[in-house]
This record gives sequence, structure tokens and C-alpha cells, in this order.
Amino acid sequence: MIRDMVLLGLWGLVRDRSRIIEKLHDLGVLHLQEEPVEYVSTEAAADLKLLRGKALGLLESLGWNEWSSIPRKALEEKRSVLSSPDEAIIDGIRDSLDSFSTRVTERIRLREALGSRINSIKGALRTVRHFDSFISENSGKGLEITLWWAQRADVADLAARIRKMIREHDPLGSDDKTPYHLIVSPGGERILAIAYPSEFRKGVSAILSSRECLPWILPGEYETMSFQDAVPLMETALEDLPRRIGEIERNLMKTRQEWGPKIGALYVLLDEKIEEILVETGSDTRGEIFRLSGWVPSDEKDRLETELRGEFRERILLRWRDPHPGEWSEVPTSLSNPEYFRPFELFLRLMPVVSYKGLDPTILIGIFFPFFGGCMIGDMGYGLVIGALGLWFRKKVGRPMLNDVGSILLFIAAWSILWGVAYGEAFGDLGHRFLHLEPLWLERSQVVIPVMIFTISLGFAHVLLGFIMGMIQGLRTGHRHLWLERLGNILIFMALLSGMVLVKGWLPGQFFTISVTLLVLGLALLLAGGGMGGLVEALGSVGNVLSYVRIAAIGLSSAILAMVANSFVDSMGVTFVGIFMALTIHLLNFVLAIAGSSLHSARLQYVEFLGKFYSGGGTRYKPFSRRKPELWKKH
Amino acid sequence: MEKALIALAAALAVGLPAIATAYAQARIGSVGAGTIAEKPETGGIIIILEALPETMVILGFVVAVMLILQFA
Repeated sequence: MIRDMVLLGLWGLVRDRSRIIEKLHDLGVLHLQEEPVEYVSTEAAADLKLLRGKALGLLESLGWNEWSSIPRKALEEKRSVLSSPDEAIIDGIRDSLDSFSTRVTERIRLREALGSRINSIKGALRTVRHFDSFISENSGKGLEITLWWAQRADVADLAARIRKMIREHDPLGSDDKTPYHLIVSPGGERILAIAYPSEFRKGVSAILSSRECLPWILPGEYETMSFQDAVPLMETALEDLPRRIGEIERNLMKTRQEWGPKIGALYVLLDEKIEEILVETGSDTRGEIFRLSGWVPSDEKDRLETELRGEFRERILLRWRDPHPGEWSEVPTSLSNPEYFRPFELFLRLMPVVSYKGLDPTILIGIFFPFFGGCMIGDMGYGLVIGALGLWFRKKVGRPMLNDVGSILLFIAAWSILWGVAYGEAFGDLGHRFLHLEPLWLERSQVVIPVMIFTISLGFAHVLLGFIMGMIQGLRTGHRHLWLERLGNILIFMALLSGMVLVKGWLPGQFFTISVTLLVLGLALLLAGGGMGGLVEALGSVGNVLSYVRIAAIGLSSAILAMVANSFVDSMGVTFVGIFMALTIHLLNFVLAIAGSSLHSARLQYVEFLGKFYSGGGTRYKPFSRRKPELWKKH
Repeated sequence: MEKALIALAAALAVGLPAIATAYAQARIGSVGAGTIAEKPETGGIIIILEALPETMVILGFVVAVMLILQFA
């Protein structure tokens, strides 16, 4: 059901403005006609916006996102502190946030620095290990060893030049004083290790540099050490650094758990206060009087009036009126459905918001969606498992949306069990084998045609209901074309129905005239309401009705797959493999049953049913209210 | 032989629309995912568009059942 709305005009004294707005914020029922615009900068809000930004930045740094863990009581207590924040409070909060932020940032930076140090040490060790034997062999001979990036150099030529240089200075020396080893790393880089007497360091460096070779050096504090000294130290560091990172992580985790909810609460309160200030600045102020206007659900009108009158008495003026037809497109839409059907409002969240004078289909979706879904699954065993799943969603998963999904699953489970009784199925034919279950209606895996006819009849009724709703919608909003077209469709459907009944011989032949009259009248209304487009749509509606045969088709495939699963035990005996295969196929069938039945049932609602009357284009009812951290959604 | 041909006809009645549906759904699905990423409120419309081609298979299934029941 869509709640009736009334337009509230509120006049008050400017000196009471903050308190009135705070009161409205507490009451949380007024949908402001002009929403506060966030980007409009006001001096009063600027400081608070800065603080809000700092708080959010801090939460991001801490990686905290558990808004539902903010204790409501703590929020209420702290709200009074920020109700009228003066300069001292703002300065105090800013200083605390800045100092806290500095400490957190330091730790995060240290963690990142240690992480990158580990990576560089690991990379260096990986490279050095390729040259382990080369280094130990040549350092034993008293040679100096250096590593070089040698991407483009001709290594053999370089080695020859180095040998030549050494021979020129030391003619008695031998060639093996300039051994080298070249590797190509997994990254494709060529790294050259070369050993030479230490007195030729400069000469070797000059030769290699002249051919675009770059020295490969150890990271950080190991840069000046020899490889043999550095490697054990780097290995020790690799054991020590993860421990230090772990300590920082634990520290940050503790800080996150302790301070996250507190800073989160501060963020929520700042956000609320900024909104109040924006509403305050956006109100129409003339001299000592200000004015606010907005939409209020009519069932909240009395409470709002009593509360405001109780606090501000004659210092406030309230005026109410119903929306004019010209305003219907501006009136926000607020849904109010019985508790059992409320979870099905989830389906409308995937659609444009229903218009204020539109028809809320929630209850009808709540009836037909699980009915169709249950008809497709049609298995007592699967129904019980779905029911257990639904209960688990409701009890264990805290998120409101999943709670709704749990409730919807319970509805589907109930109908699955009922349809399972009608088809005599419990985990396929397992119920029949062990419990001698017999179908109350028919065995759908054996008798296809009656189920198909039944589902088409269901479709006929469902689509017809959609047309009736469309006609009501047209009459409510005064859209003559809409209700004429829908009425035309209804008459054509009735003519088709009576025609089929006549063909079957269930009605006397005299009714033929009535059928033809209905058809002609229906066509005339259809053309008058929707023109040629309406005629095409009427043909599409016949396709819509046939589309409901999917209920039988998916149900049939589900029933047969369940029987196939059980047949594995027949063919393989009661063995591990047989039972495992049977369970696997049942699991697959169960997943397909849930996914298929939900998707196809949803499609029947969205395409075949809602398409006949649903009118979107409404505005979502967003009352000016306090934040609810448990429903928080990061923007 | 006659039964085999009927079975083949029934298989084609379901199989060919299934291929066509799969092709259409793949195209709609990839584009739809992008649309929902940008505008989550279009989810309902995308489900509708994604589900539209399935009607072909359903009608194919009806034809297949009719073929088998009438002629086999």
C-alpha cells in the first residue's frame, strides 16, 4: 500500500529555528520539499565538513567499515555534545583527530616501509642465490665480486677487454683472474657477476659503464657490504621483519576495534549536524520568521503535530493540506505493507520508484512469487532445506536485506512443500520409495500436459489480473487511454476464454454471440485506447500467457533431475560412489531449483505482470531523520 | 526410423532456440552488467531484458512436447 501524504507548512521564530529543526530531525518523518544541497557551502558548516572529512579519512586509513557495531546508546549520549558545537568543541575535536591521525599514519607508513623492505631483500636474495657457488669460489681466491645489469652488452667482449686490461698491468697474471657468470632472471633481465682483483675496481667499472652496464647493488644498509657478509644478515632480517609487521598489524587492529566505532559515531553525528545546518540555512527566512515545508505521511501527522505543539506551543504555526493532482509527480512515495509482505518490497527496489498515485504490487508479488517458485520446485525435501536456509538467513545474518531474503525463502519453502504434497515428491522419488508417498494431484514427471495446461491457466489469470490492475490505475489517475486499452484487453481475454470453453462444448452454442460481441467490443476499446500499438501489445499478451508454461518446464526438469540423482544408487548400489553421485546431483538440482525458480518467477512478475500496470517515475520518501548506522551505505 | 526423426525434430525444437537464447543472453548480460554497475536502479529492467529471450526456449519446449505426445 502507498501511504497518503499531506503537505506540511511550518512557520516559526528564527530564535527557535535550530531547536525546531533538531526536533524534526529526531521525529524523522518530514520529507523536505527542497532537499538540503550538500555542495552549497555555508560558513557554519565549513568547519564541521572539514572534521567530517578528517574522520572519514581516518576510518579509511584504519580500514574500519562496521557501521552496525556503533552502539546506539553511545550515539544518543554523544549527540547532546554536538547539538550546539562551539569553537572550543570543534577545535578540541580537530586537535584530537589530527594527533590520532598522525599516529595512525606513522604506523601505516612504517608497516608499508617494512613490507617493501621485505620485498627488496627477498628480490636481492633471489638474485644473489643464483651466484652462490660463483661468489664462494671466487671470494675464496681473494677476488672482488660485483654484479651488473648487462642488458645490451656483449658480455664475452667485455670480459676480454677486462682480461686485456688486467694483463697489461699484471703480465704474469692468468686468465682465470677474471671469471664471470651471466644469468637471465625470470623477469628477463640479464645480470652479470664478475670477479677481479680489487685493485682493478676502477678500470672494470669504467669498461662496464662504457657499454651501458649499471651496477647491481644490495638494498639499503647492505649496500656497502660484501655479498658473503650481507646474505646472513638479510636472512635474519627476513625472519625479523614479518614479526615487526605482525606487531604493527595487531596494534592497528586493536586501535581499529577500540576507536573505529567511536570515530564512526563522530562521523555520523557530524553528518547529521551538517544536514541540520544546511536545512537551517536553506529555510525561507523573512525577518524574525522562518518557513519550512515538506511531505509527511498522513498517519504520522497527529504525532508530529502533538510533539511540535508540546515543545513550541503557540510559537509555531502548522498548516496541512492534501496534494493537488498537479503535485502528484512531486509527492514522495512511502510504502506501508503488512509485516508478512514487507520483505517483498525488495522486488520494487530493482524498479523505478512507484509513482504516488500508482498501485503498489508488493502484496500481489508476495502472493504469486512464492506460489510460482514453489510450483516449479514442487518437492517436500527441497522445500524443507530451503526453509532451513531461510531460517538461517533470518537468524544468523544480520543484514536487513538478507533478512528479507530469508523471509522470502520461507514463503517459497512453504509453497514448495505444499506443491511437493500435490506432486508426491520428496527428494525426487525418494519419498515414494521409502515413505510410499503418493501424489495428491498428479505425478508431474509422468503427466506433462495437465501441468502445462494448469500453468497456462495460471498465466491467463495472472495476466488478466495485471490488466484489471492497469484499468484501475488508469481510472485512478484519469488516463483515459490507459483504462480503455486495458479494458479492451480484458474483454478480448474474456472472449478468448469463452471461445475455448465453447470449443470444448462446456457452454451452449448461444454463448457464441456473447464471445463475438466481447471480442468486437474489446478490439474497439483497444484501438480507441492504444491504437495499432495497443493491438500489437494485445498479441504480445497471448505470448505472455504462454510464457507461464515455463513453470511446468522448469518443474519437469527439476523432477527428472532428482530422479536421475536417485537412479545412481540404483545402478551403483548403496556404495560410497553411488551415494556421493546422488548427493552431488541433488545438490546441483537444488541450486538450479532455487536459482531457476526465483529468477523465472521474478521474470513472470516483472515482465508479464507488472508490465501491465506498474507506473514508475515516483520520488522515494526520504524523511529528514537521524542516521541509522546499521543501515549505513557508503556513498 | 520414424521415432528417431520425431526425436530429432523435438531436439531441434528445443536446441535451436536454446542456442539463439544463449547468444542473445550473453550479449544482453555483458551489456546489462555494465549498466547495473553504473546505475544499480536499472537492475529490474536488466533482469527483464535478460529474461526476454528465454521465451524462445519455452515455446520450443512446448513444441517439442507436442511433437512427442502427438506423433511418438
